Amino acid sequence: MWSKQSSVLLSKGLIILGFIMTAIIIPFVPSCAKFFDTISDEKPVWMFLTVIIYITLVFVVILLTMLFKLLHNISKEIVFVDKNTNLLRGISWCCFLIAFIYLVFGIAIQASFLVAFIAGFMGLILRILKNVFAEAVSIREENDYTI
Amino acid sequence: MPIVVNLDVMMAKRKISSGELAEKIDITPANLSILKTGKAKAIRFSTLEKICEILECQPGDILEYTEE
Repeated sequence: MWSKQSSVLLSKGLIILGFIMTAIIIPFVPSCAKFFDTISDEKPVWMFLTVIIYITLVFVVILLTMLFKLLHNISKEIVFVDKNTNLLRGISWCCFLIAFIYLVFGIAIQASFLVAFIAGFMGLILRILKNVFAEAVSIREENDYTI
Repeated sequence: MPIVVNLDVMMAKRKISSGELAEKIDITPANLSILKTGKAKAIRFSTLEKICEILECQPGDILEYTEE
């Protein structure tokens, strides 16, 4: 039977999978970047691309850690608290920073504008979700302190 | 907050303890403490009614408006 716990467990499993995938990708980043150069018509950028992907992976690890903490709190039924609002803020900022990096990288490879757009859009959605959470925290506090 | 809760004063006048009052108005001692310390954001009419009934007073004896 599908329950709330199963859903949280599935999400946690996906995050752990994300961590494993990130760890697997790390040693293959330079070869992937070189492969990109072979299929791209633009000037060689593999060195630059490698650095950009490594920087992105740092943000991805931070983002996954924050997502895991958020899910951990939710599974313990700690939902509308400032801690979670701050985690959502952090996740959204990670998305914005990734978007900014790829926006700058768009000078070299135009295709990275697409990554920047997706990351920026996700950051925006999470920012709005963070605002909703902040409002919910305020309503919960008011409810808790109504005697 | 410019609304001051003078529950302590009224309780002292009526010589009633926190535990006893909490039990009589059917709220937890923790919630009564929130009310007494001024941390409460709102008070239900039903709670206020019970407090006034037990302490034999008016809402104005418990709640006071002061300039900030």
